[in-house]
Amino acid sequence: MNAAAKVIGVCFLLLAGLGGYLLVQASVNYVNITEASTLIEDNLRFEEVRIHLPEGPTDRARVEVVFNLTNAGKIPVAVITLELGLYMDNRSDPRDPVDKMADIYVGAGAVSVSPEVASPVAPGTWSLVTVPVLVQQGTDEYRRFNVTEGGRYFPLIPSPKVVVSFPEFDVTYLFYLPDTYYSPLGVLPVG
Amino acid sequence: MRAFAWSVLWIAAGAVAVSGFFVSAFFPDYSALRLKDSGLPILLMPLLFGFFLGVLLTEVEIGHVVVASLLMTVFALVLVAVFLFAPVLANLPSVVEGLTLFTIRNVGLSATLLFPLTITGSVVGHAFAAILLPPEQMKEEIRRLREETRRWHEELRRLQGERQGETPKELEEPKH
Repeated sequence: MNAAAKVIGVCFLLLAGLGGYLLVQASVNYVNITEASTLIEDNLRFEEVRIHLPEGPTDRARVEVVFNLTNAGKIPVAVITLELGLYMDNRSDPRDPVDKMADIYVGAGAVSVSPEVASPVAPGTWSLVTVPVLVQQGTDEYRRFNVTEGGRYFPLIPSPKVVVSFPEFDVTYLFYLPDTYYSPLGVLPVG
Repeated sequence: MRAFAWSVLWIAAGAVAVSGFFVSAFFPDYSALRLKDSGLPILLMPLLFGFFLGVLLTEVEIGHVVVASLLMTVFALVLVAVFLFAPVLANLPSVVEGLTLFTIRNVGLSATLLFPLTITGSVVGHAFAAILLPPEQMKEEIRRLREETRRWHEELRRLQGERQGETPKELEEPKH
């Protein structure tokens, strides 16, 4: 092997080293993202539902659905979209909830931020995400919302749509939360 | 045996390099090398590494170089497959269900692209190196052939001169 070929050989080995590094790092990142995506579905949970009743005749009722996001993965994760539909169970209606969904629908709520400005949750930490739902008085939605039993509300929130991003990698992951929120004891309004 | 070991080293190194850049080009979100244009590395890198392989294997027959580039490509595809199935190998459930089909399509595409590119690169590299960077053994062989050819020519000219009854002065004492 002559000198020029030796130089090419050294360059070849250096590029192979770089290629190997890229391959290993991409594999590790891919595994970490997949792991985080898998874990996030089990670690995003309903924390509570807060109901703020309107104070004045023109105010809107405000329902806050609070989620707890615990990052059990190895990379930061951020919720960039959370969409949900709010239903208010009418317990005097004996039908199965699935059959009366159209009659108890109150409204939709969502939070959405771009991945660049989303607040990432570091590995091993947790964060709360609040999704507001506003209900205007005097509407059909408000009539469906304002159904109580002993002063308690019975909100029903089935499978919210969630989009999370992994800020380090510019990767997003969409899923539907498998849980449905429903409290058989009901929710008292705040204040 | 030594030449075989070097060939194996170059094949393995080439496969690692090709697969590393290939994965980086196809999946820039997962890679440290955030490539904006993925098409160029996918086309150029196999060609370049095939060329390097051809240059480094100048001392072997062209047929062996083609086999070496085929092996390099197959090994590179195995490494790409290992990357794609890394989550499964790490005992993680496949959260992206569409990936399996996507994976197969990508590997198929990579196979289609990599084989002709690496083979072309290696053949061109081998030819390039044989002309411009011949190995010492080949240089010596060429020198000996030239020397032998020159002596034959001198001998022929001497015989021709004898036949015509005159001997060229410059051929009386052949220079070596």
